[in-house]
Amino acid sequence: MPDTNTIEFPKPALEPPPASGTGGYRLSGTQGGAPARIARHAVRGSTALAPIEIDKLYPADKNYVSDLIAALSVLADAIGLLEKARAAARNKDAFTADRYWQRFQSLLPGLFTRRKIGDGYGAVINALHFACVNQHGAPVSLEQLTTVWRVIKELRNAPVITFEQALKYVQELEDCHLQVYPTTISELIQETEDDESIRGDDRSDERSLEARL
Amino acid sequence: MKAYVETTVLTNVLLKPGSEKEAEAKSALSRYEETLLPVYSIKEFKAGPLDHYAYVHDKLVQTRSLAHTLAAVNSLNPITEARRKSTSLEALAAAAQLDSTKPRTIRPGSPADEEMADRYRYALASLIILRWQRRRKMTTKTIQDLECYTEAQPEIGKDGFFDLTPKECAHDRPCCLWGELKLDENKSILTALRNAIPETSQGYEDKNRRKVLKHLINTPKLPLDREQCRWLGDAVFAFFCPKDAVILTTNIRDHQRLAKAIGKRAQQP
Repeated sequence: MPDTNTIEFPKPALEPPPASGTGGYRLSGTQGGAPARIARHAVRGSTALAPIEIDKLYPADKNYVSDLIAALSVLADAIGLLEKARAAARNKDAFTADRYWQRFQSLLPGLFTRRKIGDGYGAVINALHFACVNQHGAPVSLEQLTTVWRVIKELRNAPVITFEQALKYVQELEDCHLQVYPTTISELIQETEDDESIRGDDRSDERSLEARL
Repeated sequence: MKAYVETTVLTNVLLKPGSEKEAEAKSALSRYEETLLPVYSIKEFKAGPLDHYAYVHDKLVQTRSLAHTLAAVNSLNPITEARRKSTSLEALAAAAQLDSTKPRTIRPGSPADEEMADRYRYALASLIILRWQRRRKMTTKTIQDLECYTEAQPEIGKDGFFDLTPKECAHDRPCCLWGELKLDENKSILTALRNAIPETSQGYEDKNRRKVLKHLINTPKLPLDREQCRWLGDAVFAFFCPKDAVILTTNIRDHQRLAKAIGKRAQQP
Protein backbone atom coordinates (compact mmCIF):
# COMPACT_ATOMS: atom_id res chain seq x y z
CA MET A 1 0.00 0.00 0.00
CA PRO A 2 1.51 3.35 -1.03
CA ASP A 3 2.24 5.93 1.57
CA THR A 4 -0.12 8.82 1.59
CA ASN A 5 0.57 12.34 2.71
CA THR A 6 -1.98 13.25 5.28
CA ILE A 7 -2.73 16.92 5.57
CA GLU A 8 -3.75 17.73 9.04
CA PHE A 9 -6.23 20.56 9.46
CA PRO A 10 -5.56 22.94 12.29
CA LYS A 11 -7.45 21.84 15.35
CA PRO A 12 -9.24 24.35 17.51
CA ALA A 13 -8.60 24.18 21.20
CA LEU A 14 -11.35 22.04 22.58
CA GLU A 15 -13.72 23.49 25.08
CA PRO A 16 -16.17 21.57 27.18
CA PRO A 17 -19.63 21.48 25.61
CA PRO A 18 -22.14 23.95 26.97
CA ALA A 19 -24.28 22.69 29.77
CA SER A 20 -27.46 23.21 27.84
CA GLY A 21 -28.81 24.73 24.69
CA THR A 22 -27.12 25.19 21.34
CA GLY A 23 -29.42 27.73 19.77
CA GLY A 24 -28.43 31.11 18.51
CA TYR A 25 -30.09 33.15 21.24
CA ARG A 26 -29.26 33.57 24.82
CA LEU A 27 -32.43 33.49 26.78
CA SER A 28 -32.70 35.41 29.97
CA GLY A 29 -32.45 32.24 31.98
CA THR A 30 -28.93 31.66 30.74
CA GLN A 31 -27.66 34.95 31.99
CA GLY A 32 -25.27 34.64 34.83
CA GLY A 33 -21.68 34.90 35.84
CA ALA A 34 -20.35 32.61 33.13
CA PRO A 35 -18.70 34.32 30.18
CA ALA A 36 -20.83 34.68 27.09
CA ARG A 37 -20.58 31.92 24.52
CA ILE A 38 -19.43 32.74 21.07
CA ALA A 39 -21.24 31.84 17.91
CA ARG A 40 -18.30 29.99 16.36
CA HIS A 41 -14.98 28.79 17.62
CA ALA A 42 -11.99 30.62 16.30
CA VAL A 43 -9.99 28.53 13.85
CA ARG A 44 -6.30 29.18 13.61
CA GLY A 45 -5.35 30.40 10.17
CA SER A 46 -8.88 31.48 9.36
CA THR A 47 -9.61 35.12 8.77
CA ALA A 48 -13.18 34.81 7.46
CA LEU A 49 -14.71 33.42 10.59
CA ALA A 50 -13.93 35.98 13.21
CA PRO A 51 -15.67 35.16 16.48
CA ILE A 52 -18.86 37.07 17.14
CA GLU A 53 -20.30 37.04 20.56
CA ILE A 54 -23.88 35.90 20.44
CA ASP A 55 -24.86 38.73 22.77
CA LYS A 56 -23.64 41.18 20.20
CA LEU A 57 -25.60 39.47 17.48
CA TYR A 58 -28.83 39.90 19.38
CA PRO A 59 -28.89 41.45 22.80
CA ALA A 60 -30.77 39.21 25.20
CA ASP A 61 -34.03 40.74 26.33
CA LYS A 62 -36.81 38.50 27.45
CA ASN A 63 -39.39 40.98 26.18
CA TYR A 64 -38.58 40.32 22.61
CA VAL A 65 -36.56 37.15 22.35
CA SER A 66 -39.71 35.08 22.05
CA ASP A 67 -41.03 37.54 19.44
CA LEU A 68 -37.80 37.23 17.53
CA ILE A 69 -37.83 33.44 17.54
CA ALA A 70 -41.47 33.36 16.47
CA ALA A 71 -40.91 35.96 13.75
CA LEU A 72 -37.92 34.09 12.31
CA SER A 73 -40.02 30.98 11.97
CA VAL A 74 -42.87 32.82 10.23
CA LEU A 75 -40.44 34.71 8.03
CA ALA A 76 -39.01 31.36 6.92
CA ASP A 77 -42.53 30.25 5.98
CA ALA A 78 -43.03 33.53 4.12
CA ILE A 79 -39.84 33.02 2.14
CA GLY A 80 -40.98 29.50 1.21
CA LEU A 81 -44.34 30.77 -0.01
CA LEU A 82 -42.78 33.59 -2.00
CA GLU A 83 -40.31 31.21 -3.61
CA LYS A 84 -43.19 29.03 -4.73
CA ALA A 85 -45.09 32.08 -5.96
CA ARG A 86 -42.06 33.19 -7.95
CA ALA A 87 -41.58 29.76 -9.46
CA ALA A 88 -45.24 29.70 -10.51
CA ALA A 89 -45.03 33.22 -11.93
CA ARG A 90 -41.95 32.30 -13.93
CA ASN A 91 -43.93 29.39 -15.37
CA LYS A 92 -46.72 31.81 -16.29
CA ASP A 93 -49.03 30.13 -13.80
CA ALA A 94 -50.66 33.30 -12.48
CA PHE A 95 -53.35 31.47 -10.48
CA THR A 96 -50.87 29.44 -8.46
CA ALA A 97 -48.61 32.43 -7.98
CA ASP A 98 -51.51 34.47 -6.62
CA ARG A 99 -52.56 31.63 -4.30
CA TYR A 100 -49.12 31.60 -2.70
CA TRP A 101 -49.17 35.40 -2.54
CA GLN A 102 -52.51 35.26 -0.69
CA ARG A 103 -51.06 32.83 1.79
CA PHE A 104 -48.07 35.09 2.26
CA GLN A 105 -50.42 38.03 2.94
CA SER A 106 -52.15 36.11 5.67
CA LEU A 107 -48.84 35.89 7.57
CA LEU A 108 -48.39 39.65 7.76
CA PRO A 109 -50.77 40.47 10.64
CA GLY A 110 -49.01 37.86 12.78
CA LEU A 111 -45.61 39.24 11.84
CA PHE A 112 -46.76 42.72 12.81
CA THR A 113 -47.68 41.56 16.30
CA ARG A 114 -43.94 40.86 16.76
CA ARG A 115 -43.02 44.50 16.16
CA LYS A 116 -41.39 44.78 19.58
CA ILE A 117 -38.36 43.39 17.75
CA GLY A 118 -37.76 46.94 16.62
CA ASP A 119 -39.07 49.89 14.65
CA GLY A 120 -37.03 48.91 11.59
CA TYR A 121 -38.66 45.48 11.50
CA GLY A 122 -42.10 47.00 12.18
CA ALA A 123 -41.73 49.56 9.40
CA VAL A 124 -40.87 46.93 6.79
CA ILE A 125 -43.71 44.60 7.78
CA ASN A 126 -46.10 47.55 7.88
CA ALA A 127 -45.06 48.71 4.41
CA LEU A 128 -45.66 45.19 3.08
CA HIS A 129 -49.04 45.14 4.82
CA PHE A 130 -50.17 48.37 3.14
CA ALA A 131 -48.75 47.19 -0.16
CA CYS A 132 -51.13 44.21 0.11
CA VAL A 133 -54.07 46.33 1.31
CA ASN A 134 -53.67 48.73 -1.60
CA GLN A 135 -53.48 45.93 -4.16
CA HIS A 136 -57.17 45.29 -3.36
CA GLY A 137 -56.72 41.66 -4.27
CA ALA A 138 -55.03 42.30 -7.59
CA PRO A 139 -52.17 39.88 -8.33
CA VAL A 140 -48.62 41.16 -8.18
CA SER A 141 -46.02 40.90 -10.93
CA LEU A 142 -42.97 38.64 -10.91
CA GLU A 143 -40.79 41.71 -10.37
CA GLN A 144 -42.83 42.70 -7.33
CA LEU A 145 -42.77 39.15 -6.00
CA THR A 146 -39.01 39.06 -6.36
CA THR A 147 -38.56 42.37 -4.56
CA VAL A 148 -40.80 41.29 -1.67
CA TRP A 149 -39.05 37.90 -1.51
CA ARG A 150 -35.63 39.58 -1.36
CA VAL A 151 -36.74 42.07 1.29
CA ILE A 152 -38.20 39.31 3.44
CA LYS A 153 -35.06 37.21 3.03
CA GLU A 154 -32.89 40.11 4.10
CA LEU A 155 -35.19 40.84 7.00
CA ARG A 156 -34.90 37.26 8.18
CA ASN A 157 -31.12 37.44 7.98
CA ALA A 158 -31.13 40.61 10.07
CA PRO A 159 -34.48 41.29 11.73
CA VAL A 160 -33.02 43.79 14.19
CA ILE A 161 -32.40 46.70 11.86
CA THR A 162 -32.43 50.43 12.29
CA PHE A 163 -35.27 52.53 10.96
CA GLU A 164 -32.90 54.04 8.39
CA GLN A 165 -32.02 50.58 7.09
CA ALA A 166 -35.71 49.71 6.95
CA LEU A 167 -36.37 52.76 4.82
CA LYS A 168 -34.11 51.35 2.11
CA TYR A 169 -36.41 48.34 1.89
CA VAL A 170 -39.52 50.52 1.96
CA GLN A 171 -38.05 52.55 -0.88
CA GLU A 172 -37.35 49.37 -2.88
CA LEU A 173 -40.96 48.30 -2.43
CA GLU A 174 -42.15 51.71 -3.63
CA ASP A 175 -39.77 51.59 -6.55
CA CYS A 176 -41.44 48.43 -7.82
CA HIS A 177 -44.79 50.26 -7.79
CA LEU A 178 -46.20 48.89 -4.58
CA GLN A 179 -48.26 51.48 -2.70
CA VAL A 180 -46.81 51.18 0.79
CA TYR A 181 -48.76 53.94 2.58
CA PRO A 182 -52.37 54.00 3.73
CA THR A 183 -54.37 56.05 1.26
CA THR A 184 -56.05 57.74 4.20
CA ILE A 185 -52.81 59.09 5.59
CA SER A 186 -53.44 62.65 4.47
CA GLU A 187 -56.82 62.60 6.20
CA LEU A 188 -55.04 62.65 9.53
CA ILE A 189 -53.95 66.15 8.75
CA GLN A 190 -56.13 69.23 9.01
CA GLU A 191 -57.87 69.66 5.71
CA THR A 192 -61.02 71.47 4.80
CA GLU A 193 -63.69 70.76 2.25
CA ASP A 194 -62.75 73.83 0.30
CA ASP A 195 -59.04 74.10 0.93
CA GLU A 196 -58.27 76.03 -2.23
CA SER A 197 -60.60 78.95 -1.73
CA ILE A 198 -59.99 79.42 1.96
CA ARG A 199 -56.39 78.45 2.04
CA GLY A 200 -55.16 81.91 2.91
CA ASP A 201 -57.34 82.08 6.00
CA ASP A 202 -56.51 78.55 6.95
CA ARG A 203 -52.83 79.18 6.73
CA SER A 204 -53.10 82.03 9.16
CA ASP A 205 -55.11 79.82 11.46
CA GLU A 206 -52.49 77.12 11.16
CA ARG A 207 -49.64 79.49 11.77
CA SER A 208 -51.29 80.96 14.84
CA LEU A 209 -51.80 77.37 15.91
CA GLU A 210 -48.13 76.67 15.40
CA ALA A 211 -47.29 79.63 17.54
CA ARG A 212 -49.56 78.27 20.25
CA LEU A 213 -47.89 74.88 20.03
CA MET B 1 -44.27 75.96 -21.55
CA LYS B 2 -42.67 75.74 -18.12
CA ALA B 3 -44.32 75.24 -14.75
CA TYR B 4 -43.10 77.00 -11.64
CA VAL B 5 -44.15 74.62 -8.91
CA GLU B 6 -45.75 76.13 -5.83
CA THR B 7 -45.89 74.53 -2.37
CA THR B 8 -49.43 73.15 -2.62
CA VAL B 9 -48.58 71.10 -5.71
CA LEU B 10 -45.34 69.85 -4.18
CA THR B 11 -47.35 68.81 -1.12
CA ASN B 12 -49.94 66.94 -3.17
CA VAL B 13 -47.26 65.08 -5.08
CA LEU B 14 -45.23 64.14 -2.03
CA LEU B 15 -47.56 63.81 0.91
CA LYS B 16 -50.84 62.46 -0.46
CA PRO B 17 -49.92 58.98 -1.68
CA GLY B 18 -52.64 57.12 -3.51
CA SER B 19 -54.99 60.12 -3.52
CA GLU B 20 -56.70 61.87 -6.40
CA LYS B 21 -54.77 65.01 -5.57
CA GLU B 22 -51.49 63.18 -6.04
CA ALA B 23 -52.64 61.80 -9.38
CA GLU B 24 -53.80 65.25 -10.55
CA ALA B 25 -50.57 66.92 -9.50
CA LYS B 26 -48.40 64.26 -11.16
CA SER B 27 -50.43 64.42 -14.31
CA ALA B 28 -50.12 68.21 -14.38
CA LEU B 29 -46.35 68.05 -13.97
CA SER B 30 -46.10 65.66 -16.90
CA ARG B 31 -47.91 68.13 -19.18
CA TYR B 32 -45.10 70.70 -19.08
CA GLU B 33 -41.84 70.55 -21.01
CA GLU B 34 -39.98 71.77 -17.97
CA THR B 35 -40.99 71.89 -14.33
CA LEU B 36 -39.13 74.27 -12.05
CA LEU B 37 -39.09 73.88 -8.30
CA PRO B 38 -37.96 76.94 -6.37
CA VAL B 39 -36.28 76.20 -3.05
CA TYR B 40 -38.78 78.63 -1.49
CA SER B 41 -41.43 75.93 -2.14
CA ILE B 42 -39.29 73.40 -0.32
CA LYS B 43 -38.89 75.78 2.61
CA GLU B 44 -42.65 76.37 2.85
CA PHE B 45 -43.32 72.65 2.41
CA LYS B 46 -41.10 71.76 5.36
CA ALA B 47 -42.35 74.50 7.67
CA GLY B 48 -46.00 73.81 6.82
CA PRO B 49 -47.39 70.45 5.63
CA LEU B 50 -44.35 68.33 6.52
CA ASP B 51 -44.33 69.85 9.99
CA HIS B 52 -48.02 69.00 10.42
CA TYR B 53 -47.34 65.40 9.45
CA ALA B 54 -44.46 65.29 11.92
CA TYR B 55 -46.78 66.69 14.59
CA VAL B 56 -49.28 63.85 14.03
CA HIS B 57 -46.45 61.32 14.08
CA ASP B 58 -45.21 62.71 17.38
CA LYS B 59 -48.73 62.64 18.80
CA LEU B 60 -48.95 58.95 17.90
CA VAL B 61 -45.63 58.39 19.67
CA GLN B 62 -46.93 60.23 22.71
CA THR B 63 -50.40 58.70 22.96
CA ARG B 64 -49.82 55.26 21.38
CA SER B 65 -53.44 55.60 20.37
CA LEU B 66 -54.97 56.45 17.00
CA ALA B 67 -58.24 57.43 18.69
CA HIS B 68 -56.59 59.92 21.02
CA THR B 69 -54.38 61.29 18.26
CA LEU B 70 -57.33 61.89 15.99
CA ALA B 71 -59.21 63.60 18.82
CA ALA B 72 -56.19 65.79 19.54
CA VAL B 73 -55.78 66.78 15.90
CA ASN B 74 -59.48 67.59 15.59
CA SER B 75 -59.52 69.69 18.74
CA LEU B 76 -56.52 71.80 17.82
CA ASN B 77 -58.17 74.03 15.31
CA PRO B 78 -61.80 74.69 16.16
CA ILE B 79 -62.03 77.43 13.51
CA THR B 80 -61.57 75.07 10.62
CA GLU B 81 -62.97 72.02 12.32
CA ALA B 82 -66.49 72.76 11.17
CA ARG B 83 -65.33 72.88 7.55
CA ARG B 84 -63.09 69.90 7.88
CA LYS B 85 -63.80 66.72 6.01
CA SER B 86 -65.10 64.18 8.46
CA THR B 87 -62.42 61.61 9.04
CA SER B 88 -63.62 58.89 11.30
CA LEU B 89 -61.57 56.49 13.29
CA GLU B 90 -63.44 53.67 11.59
CA ALA B 91 -62.44 54.93 8.14
CA LEU B 92 -58.80 55.13 9.15
CA ALA B 93 -58.93 51.66 10.66
CA ALA B 94 -60.74 50.21 7.65
CA ALA B 95 -58.07 51.58 5.32
CA ALA B 96 -55.44 49.74 7.33
CA GLN B 97 -57.06 46.31 7.20
CA LEU B 98 -56.40 43.54 4.76
CA ASP B 99 -59.91 42.23 5.12
CA SER B 100 -62.18 45.25 4.85
CA THR B 101 -65.27 43.06 5.05
CA LYS B 102 -64.65 42.61 8.76
CA PRO B 103 -64.57 46.11 10.21
CA ARG B 104 -62.99 46.36 13.62
CA THR B 105 -64.32 48.47 16.41
CA ILE B 106 -61.49 50.54 17.80
CA ARG B 107 -61.87 51.40 21.46
CA PRO B 108 -59.50 54.10 22.72
CA GLY B 109 -56.60 52.51 24.53
CA SER B 110 -57.36 48.98 23.32
CA PRO B 111 -54.66 46.77 21.74
CA ALA B 112 -56.34 47.32 18.36
CA ASP B 113 -56.06 51.09 18.87
CA GLU B 114 -52.37 50.74 19.72
CA GLU B 115 -51.83 48.56 16.67
CA MET B 116 -53.46 51.19 14.44
CA ALA B 117 -51.37 53.91 16.06
CA ASP B 118 -48.21 51.96 15.25
CA ARG B 119 -49.34 51.32 11.69
CA TYR B 120 -49.91 55.03 11.03
CA ARG B 121 -46.78 56.00 12.96
CA TYR B 122 -44.55 53.77 10.84
CA ALA B 123 -46.25 54.93 7.67
CA LEU B 124 -45.91 58.61 8.59
CA ALA B 125 -42.28 58.26 9.61
CA SER B 126 -41.41 56.47 6.36
CA LEU B 127 -43.39 58.95 4.29
CA ILE B 128 -41.84 62.03 5.91
CA ILE B 129 -38.26 60.85 5.48
CA LEU B 130 -38.53 59.19 2.07
CA ARG B 131 -40.63 61.90 0.45
CA TRP B 132 -38.31 64.59 1.77
CA GLN B 133 -35.45 62.75 0.07
CA ARG B 134 -37.45 62.75 -3.14
CA ARG B 135 -38.37 66.44 -3.11
CA ARG B 136 -35.83 67.48 -5.74
CA LYS B 137 -36.67 64.56 -8.01
CA MET B 138 -40.31 65.51 -8.66
CA THR B 139 -39.50 68.24 -11.15
CA THR B 140 -37.06 68.54 -14.03
CA LYS B 141 -35.10 71.29 -12.23
CA THR B 142 -34.70 72.79 -8.79
CA ILE B 143 -33.95 76.47 -9.00
CA GLN B 144 -33.37 79.62 -6.97
CA ASP B 145 -31.43 78.17 -4.06
CA LEU B 146 -31.74 80.15 -0.87
CA GLU B 147 -28.33 80.91 0.58
CA CYS B 148 -29.72 81.52 4.03
CA TYR B 149 -31.73 78.28 4.19
CA THR B 150 -30.34 74.82 4.93
CA GLU B 151 -32.30 71.84 3.61
CA ALA B 152 -31.59 69.48 6.48
CA GLN B 153 -32.99 65.95 6.46
CA PRO B 154 -35.79 65.32 8.99
CA GLU B 155 -34.60 63.04 11.76
CA ILE B 156 -36.17 60.99 14.50
CA GLY B 157 -34.53 61.65 17.85
CA LYS B 158 -33.87 59.14 20.59
CA ASP B 159 -37.14 60.18 22.20
CA GLY B 160 -38.97 59.04 19.06
CA PHE B 161 -40.05 62.55 18.08
CA PHE B 162 -39.24 64.20 14.76
CA ASP B 163 -36.67 66.93 14.53
CA LEU B 164 -37.33 69.08 11.47
CA THR B 165 -34.97 71.91 12.28
CA PRO B 166 -34.13 74.17 10.63
CA LYS B 167 -37.58 75.06 9.36
CA GLU B 168 -36.65 78.66 8.75
CA CYS B 169 -33.78 80.60 7.29
CA ALA B 170 -30.74 81.55 9.34
CA HIS B 171 -31.45 84.66 11.39
CA ASP B 172 -27.88 85.96 11.53
CA ARG B 173 -28.05 87.63 8.15
CA PRO B 174 -30.56 89.46 5.95
CA CYS B 175 -32.85 87.38 3.74
CA CYS B 176 -31.01 86.36 0.57
CA LEU B 177 -33.99 87.40 -1.58
CA TRP B 178 -33.65 90.98 -0.37
CA GLY B 179 -30.81 91.74 -2.80
CA GLU B 180 -33.13 91.22 -5.78
CA LEU B 181 -36.26 92.65 -4.21
CA LYS B 182 -34.70 95.97 -3.21
CA LEU B 183 -33.52 96.92 -6.70
CA ASP B 184 -34.94 100.21 -8.01
CA GLU B 185 -36.06 98.59 -11.25
CA ASN B 186 -38.32 96.24 -9.28
CA LYS B 187 -40.19 98.93 -7.36
CA SER B 188 -43.04 99.04 -9.84
CA ILE B 189 -43.48 95.26 -9.63
CA LEU B 190 -43.64 95.40 -5.85
CA THR B 191 -46.17 98.20 -6.02
CA ALA B 192 -48.34 96.24 -8.42
CA LEU B 193 -48.19 93.23 -6.13
CA ARG B 194 -49.18 95.31 -3.13
CA ASN B 195 -52.07 96.87 -5.01
CA ALA B 196 -53.30 93.42 -5.99
CA ILE B 197 -53.95 92.62 -2.35
CA PRO B 198 -57.23 94.27 -1.31
CA GLU B 199 -56.64 96.89 1.35
CA THR B 200 -59.84 95.79 3.01
CA SER B 201 -58.79 92.16 3.28
CA GLN B 202 -59.19 90.86 6.80
CA GLY B 203 -56.93 87.88 6.14
CA TYR B 204 -53.99 87.73 8.51
CA GLU B 205 -51.72 86.68 5.68
CA ASP B 206 -52.86 89.45 3.33
CA LYS B 207 -52.31 92.11 5.97
CA ASN B 208 -48.80 90.93 6.70
CA ARG B 209 -47.94 90.55 3.03
CA ARG B 210 -49.05 94.11 2.30
CA LYS B 211 -46.98 95.34 5.23
CA VAL B 212 -43.80 93.65 4.00
CA LEU B 213 -44.35 94.87 0.43
CA LYS B 214 -44.80 98.39 1.77
CA HIS B 215 -41.55 98.04 3.67
CA LEU B 216 -39.74 96.98 0.49
CA ILE B 217 -41.24 99.81 -1.55
CA ASN B 218 -40.67 102.62 0.95
CA THR B 219 -37.54 101.54 2.77
CA PRO B 220 -35.70 99.18 0.41
CA LYS B 221 -32.37 99.75 2.14
CA LEU B 222 -33.68 98.28 5.40
CA PRO B 223 -32.79 94.57 5.33
CA LEU B 224 -35.52 91.98 5.09
CA ASP B 225 -35.55 89.51 7.95
CA ARG B 226 -36.66 85.88 7.85
CA GLU B 227 -40.11 86.60 9.27
CA GLN B 228 -40.77 89.17 6.58
CA CYS B 229 -39.51 86.75 3.94
CA ARG B 230 -41.99 84.17 5.23
CA TRP B 231 -44.85 86.68 5.14
CA LEU B 232 -44.11 87.58 1.54
CA GLY B 233 -45.22 84.01 0.76
CA ASP B 234 -47.35 83.97 -2.38
CA ALA B 235 -45.83 87.26 -3.58
CA VAL B 236 -42.42 85.54 -3.80
CA PHE B 237 -43.85 83.10 -6.35
CA ALA B 238 -45.32 85.86 -8.48
CA PHE B 239 -42.16 87.94 -8.30
CA PHE B 240 -39.61 85.19 -8.98
CA CYS B 241 -41.58 83.08 -11.46
CA PRO B 242 -39.68 83.22 -14.78
CA LYS B 243 -41.51 85.08 -17.54
CA ASP B 244 -41.77 81.97 -19.70
CA ALA B 245 -43.38 79.91 -16.94
CA VAL B 246 -46.74 79.67 -15.18
CA ILE B 247 -47.21 79.26 -11.45
CA LEU B 248 -48.64 75.80 -10.87
CA THR B 249 -50.76 75.89 -7.73
CA THR B 250 -53.98 74.57 -6.21
CA ASN B 251 -54.43 77.93 -4.46
CA ILE B 252 -55.43 79.62 -7.70
CA ARG B 253 -57.43 82.46 -6.14
CA ASP B 254 -54.55 84.00 -4.23
CA HIS B 255 -51.87 83.34 -6.81
CA GLN B 256 -53.82 84.40 -9.87
CA ARG B 257 -54.50 87.93 -8.63
CA LEU B 258 -50.82 88.49 -7.77
CA ALA B 259 -49.49 86.92 -10.98
CA LYS B 260 -51.98 88.82 -13.14
CA ALA B 261 -50.98 92.14 -11.59
CA ILE B 262 -47.47 91.79 -12.99
CA GLY B 263 -48.31 90.13 -16.30
CA LYS B 264 -47.76 86.54 -15.26
CA ARG B 265 -50.11 83.56 -14.97
CA ALA B 266 -51.11 80.92 -12.48
CA GLN B 267 -52.69 77.58 -13.34
CA GLN B 268 -54.32 74.76 -11.42
CA PRO B 269 -53.16 71.15 -11.88
